[in-house]
Amino acid sequence: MGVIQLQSPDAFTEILPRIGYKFNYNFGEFYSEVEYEMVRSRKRKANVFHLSSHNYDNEIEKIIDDGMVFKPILRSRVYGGFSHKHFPVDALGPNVMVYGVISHDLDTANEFKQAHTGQSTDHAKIGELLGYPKCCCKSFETDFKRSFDPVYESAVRTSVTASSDECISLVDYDVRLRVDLRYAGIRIIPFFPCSYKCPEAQRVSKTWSDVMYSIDSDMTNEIIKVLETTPTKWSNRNGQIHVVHPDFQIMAGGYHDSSYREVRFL
Amino acid sequence: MSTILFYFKTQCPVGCEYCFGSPSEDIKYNLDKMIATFKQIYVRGDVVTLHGGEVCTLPLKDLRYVLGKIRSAVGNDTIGLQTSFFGATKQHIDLLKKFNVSVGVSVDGPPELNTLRGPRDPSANAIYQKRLIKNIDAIRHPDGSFGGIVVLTKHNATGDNLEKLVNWAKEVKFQGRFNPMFTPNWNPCSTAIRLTPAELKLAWIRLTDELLVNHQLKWEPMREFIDNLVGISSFSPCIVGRCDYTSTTCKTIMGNGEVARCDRCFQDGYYQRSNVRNYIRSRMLKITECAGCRYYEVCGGGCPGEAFDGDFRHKTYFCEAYYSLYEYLEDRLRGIMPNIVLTIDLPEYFDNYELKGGRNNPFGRMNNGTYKHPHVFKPPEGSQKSTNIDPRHGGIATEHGDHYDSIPPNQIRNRPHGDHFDEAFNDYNTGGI
Repeated sequence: MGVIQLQSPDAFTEILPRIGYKFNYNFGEFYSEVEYEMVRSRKRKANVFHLSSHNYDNEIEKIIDDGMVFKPILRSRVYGGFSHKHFPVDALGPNVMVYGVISHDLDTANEFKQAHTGQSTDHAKIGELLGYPKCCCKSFETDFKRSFDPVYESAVRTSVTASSDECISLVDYDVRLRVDLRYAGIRIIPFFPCSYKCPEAQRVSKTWSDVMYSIDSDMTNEIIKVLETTPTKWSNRNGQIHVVHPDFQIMAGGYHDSSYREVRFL
Repeated sequence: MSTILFYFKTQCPVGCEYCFGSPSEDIKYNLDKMIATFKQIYVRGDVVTLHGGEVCTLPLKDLRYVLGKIRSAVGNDTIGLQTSFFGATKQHIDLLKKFNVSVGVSVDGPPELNTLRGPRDPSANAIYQKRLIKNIDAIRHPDGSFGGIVVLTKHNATGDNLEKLVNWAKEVKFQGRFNPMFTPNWNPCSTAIRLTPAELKLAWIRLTDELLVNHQLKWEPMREFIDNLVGISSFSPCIVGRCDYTSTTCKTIMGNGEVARCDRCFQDGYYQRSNVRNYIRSRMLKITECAGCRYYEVCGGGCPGEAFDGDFRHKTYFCEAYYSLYEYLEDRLRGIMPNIVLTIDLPEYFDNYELKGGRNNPFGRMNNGTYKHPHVFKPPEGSQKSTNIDPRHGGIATEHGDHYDSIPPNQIRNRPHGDHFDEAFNDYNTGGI
C-alpha cells in the first residue's frame, strides 16, 4: 500500500443509494456508447477510446468496420472508479489498457495526439476536435490552471442565487449542462460548460441528447430524471468529492487544494 | 475481522437525549431476512452484537428466535448485546443468560448523572433508573464487575461530576468504554451537551490516572491506546483502525436484511455500504488535516461519524483529546522504559506492519546484548527529528518537516501544464466508472 501523492488520489468512486432506491449502474457504460456513436455518426471529429487488453481484437474490428482509425496515446494501468487521470505504465499486460483517440481520418487522430502529447497540452485544439463550444474551451483553459475539477468555477459564471466564498447555490440553470454527477456516468454533455446556462453548450447538449435518445430512450429519460431531481449538493474537501443527491450519494477522488468548494443545484 | 451489528429498529422508543441514530426512516424488521444475511457475511472471528433501537423492547419470542439462530451459527463465539435495559424484564435477563450473551450496559454514571438516558418524562425516568440498577446487578460477572459504555457529556464528565463518575465507575466495578458523545447532523441541539475536545482530554486523562494505578481496570479507549502505541496487537478500537465512511469496519444488518454501514454514519440518512474496503479518507487526511501529526499512525483521523461539522472528510472533532491522550501515555511509557520502541517510531507503521499482519517488538532496543544498561536512554542511531504537528497549535497550517512540505498547495494548484503528470490527465472522457 504505497503512499499517494498530494495531488493524486487513486481512482475512486462509490455510489451509495438510499435503501429502497435502485440505482442504475449502467449509466457509465451507456455514456461510453454514446461518445463512440457521436464520432461514428460524424457528429464530432474525434473521441478518446480505451482499448482493453482483454477485448482488443473485437474492439479494433468494430472500429475498422465503422470506418474509423485508432491512434494510441499512452498505456495506463486499469483502474476502477472515476479518475481524473491515467496511471501510465511502460509495459503492456493483462492489467493495462491503451488510451488513444478514434476518428474517421488519420490526420484528425494525429492532430489530436499531437495536441495531447506535445510540450504542453493544447486544450483549445483538443476541445475543438471533440466538438466543444469555443467559449467553454476558453474558460476550461483558465479554470484548469486553478482547479482540476471546475464544477465550482462554472457555477461562479452562472447567475448565482446565493453565494459565499465557499458555497454557491443555483436555481436558474439548465440541468442538461450539469457535470456534478458525472462520476457515476450521469451526464448529457462530456465537457465543463463555461456556465450552466451557456447557450452554445445548450445547443451542443441537444445534439448529444438526440443521440442518446436514438440509442436508448428509457435510459436517457432516466438520466434526465436523475438530473432534474434536486436539491443536489456537490462539494470537494480534502481531496474527496462528495455529491449528495436525494436518492443516492457519490464519493469520488478529487484534488486537494486546501480550500472547500460547494455547489448546490436547487 | 468485522463487527456485525443487528439493527432491529431505526426508531427507538426510549428517547435518550443524544441518540445518533436517524429518526427519519422506519424499517420494519424481518428476522429471517436478517439471519439469512448474517449467515452470508459472518466469518469466524467477527464480533456479533445486537443493538439498534432498544433490543429489550423486542418481543421475547423474537429475541429468543434470533438469539437461537445466531448461537447456532457462531458456536461458542461471543454474542454481544448493547442495551440501556429499557423495557427489560426478568425473562429478558434469563434469556440472555440462557444464550450466554455478553451484555454491555449503556449507562452514564449513577442515576443523577444518567438522566440523559431513558425516557424524557421525569417520573418515568426515575422508575427507569431504579430498574436499571436492579438489572445491572442481575448480569454482573462472578467478580462483581459488569461491562458497558459510558457516553461522556458535559453532564457527567466536567467539574465535580467527573469525579463522581470516576468514583462511581470504581465502586460499581464498571469495565468498558468511555466514549465521547458526538452530534449527528439531524440533532444539532445536542451540541450544547457535547464535550469540547479540551474537556474530553481532561476527562480521559483523569480516567487514565486511575487506570495507571489499578491494573484491573479495563477502561477504554485508554488501555487500547496503550496497546496501539506498544503495537503487539491490532489497532483498536475501530475509530483508529482507518474506518472509512463508505466501507466502515462495522457491518450493520438492517431490519430488511440489507447490509449497511456503521450506525454512527447513519446520520445523513444513507445507510448502504461499499463492498470494497478502502482507506481513501484516512490517506487523504494523512496529507491534509493530519499531515505531520506525531500520532497519525495510531489514529488515522478518527471516526468519520464524529468528524467536524458532520463532514466525514474531516478528521475527528475530538482530535485534541486523541492527541493528548496518546501524548500522555507515550510520556509515561517512555518514562518507565526509556528505550521502548513504540509504533510511532516506525515509519508508515499502519501500512508496513498493521496491514501486513506484522507486529512491533517494543523491547527490541532493550536487548542486554546490545545495550548494557537498558534503562539508560540512548537515542536510536540515525534518528531524525520527528515530525510533530500539535493540532492545538494550528494543525496543517503549521510548518512541518516531512516530504509533503516540499510541495506547497498553491504550487500544486498553479503548476504549469505540460509536465509529465499533466500528460496523463484525462478529463476529456470521464464518463467511465
